[in-house]
Amino acid sequence: MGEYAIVSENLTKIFRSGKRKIVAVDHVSLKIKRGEFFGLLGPNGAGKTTFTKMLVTLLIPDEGEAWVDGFSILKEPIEVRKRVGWMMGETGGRALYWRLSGYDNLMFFAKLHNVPRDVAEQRIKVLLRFVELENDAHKLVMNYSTGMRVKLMLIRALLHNPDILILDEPTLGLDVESARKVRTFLRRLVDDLGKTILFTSHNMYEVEMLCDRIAIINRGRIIFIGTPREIREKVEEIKIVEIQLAENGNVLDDVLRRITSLSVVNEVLSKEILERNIIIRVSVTDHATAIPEIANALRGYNIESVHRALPTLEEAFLKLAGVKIFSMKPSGVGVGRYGRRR
Amino acid sequence: MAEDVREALEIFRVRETKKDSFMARALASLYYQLKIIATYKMFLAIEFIDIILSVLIYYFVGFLVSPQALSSLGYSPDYLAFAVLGIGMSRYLWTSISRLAHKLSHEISEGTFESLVAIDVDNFRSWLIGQVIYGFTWSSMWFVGTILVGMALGAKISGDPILWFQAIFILLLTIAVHVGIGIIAAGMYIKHKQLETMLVFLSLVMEFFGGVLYPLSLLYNYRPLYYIAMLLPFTHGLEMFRRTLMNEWTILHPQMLLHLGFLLVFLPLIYLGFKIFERYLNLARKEGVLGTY
Amino acid sequence: MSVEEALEMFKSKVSGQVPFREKVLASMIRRAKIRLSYKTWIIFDFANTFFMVLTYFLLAFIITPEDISRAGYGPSYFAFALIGIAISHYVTASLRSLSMTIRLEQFYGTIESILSTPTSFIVLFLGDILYFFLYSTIFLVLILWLGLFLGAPIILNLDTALTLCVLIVLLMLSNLPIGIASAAMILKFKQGNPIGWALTWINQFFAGTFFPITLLPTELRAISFLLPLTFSLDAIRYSLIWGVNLLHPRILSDVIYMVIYAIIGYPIALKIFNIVYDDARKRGELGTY
Ligand SMILES: Nc1ncnc2c1ncn2[C@@H]1O[C@H](COP(=O)(O)OP(=O)(O)OP(=O)(O)O)[C@@H](O)[C@H]1O
Ligand SMILES: [Mg+2]
Repeated sequence: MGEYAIVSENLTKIFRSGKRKIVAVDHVSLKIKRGEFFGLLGPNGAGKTTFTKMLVTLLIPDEGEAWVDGFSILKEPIEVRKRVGWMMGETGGRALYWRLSGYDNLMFFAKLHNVPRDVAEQRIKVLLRFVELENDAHKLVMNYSTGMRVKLMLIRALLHNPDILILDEPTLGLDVESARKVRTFLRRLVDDLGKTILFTSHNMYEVEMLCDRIAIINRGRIIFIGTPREIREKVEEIKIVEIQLAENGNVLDDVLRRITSLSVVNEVLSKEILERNIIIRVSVTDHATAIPEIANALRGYNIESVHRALPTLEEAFLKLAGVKIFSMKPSGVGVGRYGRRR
Repeated sequence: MAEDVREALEIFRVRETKKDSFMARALASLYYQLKIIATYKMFLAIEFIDIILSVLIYYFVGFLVSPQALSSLGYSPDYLAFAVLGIGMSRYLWTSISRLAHKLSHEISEGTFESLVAIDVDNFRSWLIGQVIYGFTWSSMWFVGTILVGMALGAKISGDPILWFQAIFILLLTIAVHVGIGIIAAGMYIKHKQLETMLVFLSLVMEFFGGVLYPLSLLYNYRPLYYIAMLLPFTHGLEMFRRTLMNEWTILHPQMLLHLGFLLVFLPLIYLGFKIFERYLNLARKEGVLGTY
Repeated sequence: MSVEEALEMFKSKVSGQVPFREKVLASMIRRAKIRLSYKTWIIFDFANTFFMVLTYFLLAFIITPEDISRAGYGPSYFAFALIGIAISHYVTASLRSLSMTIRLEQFYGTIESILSTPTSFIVLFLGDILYFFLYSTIFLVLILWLGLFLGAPIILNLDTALTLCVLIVLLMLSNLPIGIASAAMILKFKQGNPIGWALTWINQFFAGTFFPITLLPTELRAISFLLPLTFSLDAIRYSLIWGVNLLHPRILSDVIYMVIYAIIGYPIALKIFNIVYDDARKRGELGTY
C-alpha cells in the first residue's frame, strides 16, 4: 500500500430516487501513486464528483473500499480527512460563508484543520497574495466575483498543507491567466514537493497538459486509463473532416448519400442543420485524399468549406472507449441540482 | 442533435405578437406564487397550527382578564374578541407596510431585480400588483382563520352583515392608507437600502401603539405615549374596526367619525406613494444603483 | 507574486493541534459575525421584545391575578409574563439553534467543506449554542432590567441570580435533546424552518409562557408535563418571584425533572441524529437543501 496515495477497489455508489436507480460510480478500481498528478476526465454526470466525495468520506459507498494514504475511508474517516485537501466542485464558489470576509473564511477553516494560528496567518497572507486577493481579503465574500470565490476555495483546500489534494474542477470559473497560474502552481506542488493530486475536469486540453496519468470516466465506469501521450496517440488516429454547406435541411439526405458512398469516408459522426446551413463531420481514412473527393462528390451544392478538423472531446471519447457518449453539454457555472442561494 | 437545436431556435423565431393584459399578468404572477406555496404543504400545516396557537394563547389569557376592567374601558367585556380582532388586523399592517420592501430586498439580493425591471416597466408594475395581491391573499387567510378560530372558541364578535360590511370597509380603508406608506417606503428602499430596518421598526411601533393586545385607554396614564398612538393611522383603523364588531357602533357614531377623519387625512399617501416610487425607480435607473446590494 | 514564494509555504510540515476550546470559540465568533450582519433582523428582535414587555406591562392592568397567585406565582401578572419573555430566547436557542446550524450550513453550501475536515461537527454545534447562549443572556439582562424599571415585583439578589444561572443552564440542557432530534429531522426532510417555529410555539404555549398551565384543561395539561420547559419555567418563576434558591423543595423537584429529561433525552436524540446522519451520507444528501 505504501507506494500508493489513493487506492480504490470496486468503489460503487448507487443513488436511488424513487424507483429510479442511478449507478453514479460503477466498480471503479484505481491506484494513484504518491507524487502523481492524476486526472479524472469525463462528461457531465459521469460520476467524477461522486467518486471524489467518497474519497473524502462525505459519501458512504454502497460497495467496495478505498484507502487514502493507507487509511480506509470506511473505517478511519478522520485519518483520511486529516490528510486530504478537498476542493468542492461545481459550486461556483457557493461553499463559503458569504457574510464573512475572505480572510475570516480561511482562518476558520484553518482552525478546523488544526493549523496553529501563526502558521495559518502566514500561509493565508502569502496565498492570498499569490492569487491576487490580498486587497480584497477583508471584503465580505458576498461581494466577490465568482472567480475570486473559486480562488478562495482553492486556497482553503491547501491551508493545512495536505499531502494529497483532491480537486474537483478547480479551474472552473477562473479567467485564462489565473487558470494558467493555478495550473503551474499545482504542477509544481507535485514536482517540487511530491504532493499527490487527483484532479477532475471536462477540459481535455487542461488534463492533458497537466497530468501524469489520466482516467476517463463515463457513466460511472472507467473506460480508459493511460498517459496523456497514449491518449494523444489514440486521438490522432481519428481523422476528421468537417463539411459546411450553405443549403437548407431538405437536401441533407442526398448529401449524406453522396458522402457515405465514398470509400475514404468511414462514418458520419454528426450532422447539424442550422437555418440555412448544414454542418457534417465525418471520419476519414486520410485527409489528403478525402477533402478533394468530398468536394467533388458534392459538386452542385453551395459548399462553404471542406476542411480538416480536430476531434472534439466527444469524438475522442468515442474512439477511446468505443462507446457513444451522450449528454456532452458544455459545462456551466453554478447551475444544477443544488439550487440557488439567496 | 440537429433536431433539438432547431426546436430551440424555433422558440425565438416567432415575434411575440399578442401581449397579455396588465391584469392577466398580475394574476399570472399571483397564480405562480400560490403554486409555489401549495408545494409547501408542511408550511401550510404549520401556518395553521400557528393561527390556532396564537388564538388559543389569548383564549387562556382571556381567563385572567377581568371583564369589569375591560368594560369599564368601554369595550364589551370579552378579551378574546378584543385580541382576535387585533391580531387579525395586525397581519394586514405588516403586509401593507413591509411586504413590498422586503420582497424587493429579496429580489435584489437574488439578482433578479434588474432583469425584472429590464423587461419593461409595465411588466414591473404588474409584478408589483401581483406581489401586493399575493400578500393580501395570505393575510386574508390569516385574518379569516383567526376570526373563525376565535368565534369557535366563543369570542363575541358581531355577526350582523351590515356591521361586517362596515368593518370590511374600514379594513380596506386602513389597508389603503398603509399600502401608501408601504409603497413610499419601497420606493425609497430602492435607493436607500438601510431603510428596511426602519420599516420593520415602524411596523412594530404601529403594532404596539395600535393597541393590538391591550385597550388603548391604558396608555392614557402615559400621556406622551398616548399622543404618539393617536398620531398613527393604524390606531384609528383598529379602534374603528373593534368598535364596529364588538360594540356594534355604526360609522355615524361621533367617536367613529373622528377616527374616520384621522384615517382619511392619510389617504392621499397612496397617490403620493406611486409618484414617489416612480421617481425613485427612475432615479435608480439613471444612477445605476438598481442591482447594488 | 511568483509560484516559488507560494511553494515556500508548503515546504515546512507543521503538525499542530488547535485546542478544542479555540475551535469552539472560532465557531462561535463565526456565527456571531454572520448573525450580526443581518442588522434588520437583530433590530427587529430587540424592538419586538421591548414592545412585548411593554404590551404585557399594560395588559397586566386589566388582569385579575387570582389564577396566577392560585398557581403559586404571586400577585403580579406582569412579573409572571416578564419572566416568560425573559427566558424565551434560551428556549429558542436550545430548541432551534442546532437545526438552524444544519439548515444554514446546507444553505451556504459549507456543510460538506466542514465535514471534510478532521474536526467534528460537534465543535460547530457547541460554538453556535454558545453564541445563542450569550445572545439570549443579553436579552435576559435587558428584559429583567426593563421589568424592574417598570416595577415588576421580582426579587433579584445574589442568591436568586445564582439560582437563575443554574436553572438556565438546566433549561438548555434539558431542552437540547429536542433540539438535536429536530436537527436530525432537518437533515432528513430539509424543510426545516416551519418545524422549528412550531416547536417553539408549542413549547411556549404548553409550558405556559403567558398564562399559568393550571388554566389548561386536564387533558391538555398532560402535554405540558411532557415538556421539560414546563419545569424550567416553573422553577425560574418561583425563584424570582419568591426569592428562594435551589434548595426550596418546589425548585428542587423541578430540577430533578429536568435532570431526568436530560438523562433520558440525550442517548435517544443522539441515536436518532447518528442514524439520520449516516443515512444522509449514504444517500449523498448532506449538502442538498
Ligand atoms: N445526491 C444525489 N442523489 C441522486 N443522484 C445523484 C446525487 N449526486 C449525484 N447524483 C447523480 O449521479 C450521477 C453522477 O454525478 P456526479 O456529480 O458525480 O457527476 P460529475 O462527473 O461530477 O458531473 P459534472 O461534470 O457535471 O460535475 C449523475 O447522474 C447525478 O445526477
Ligand atoms: Mg462534478
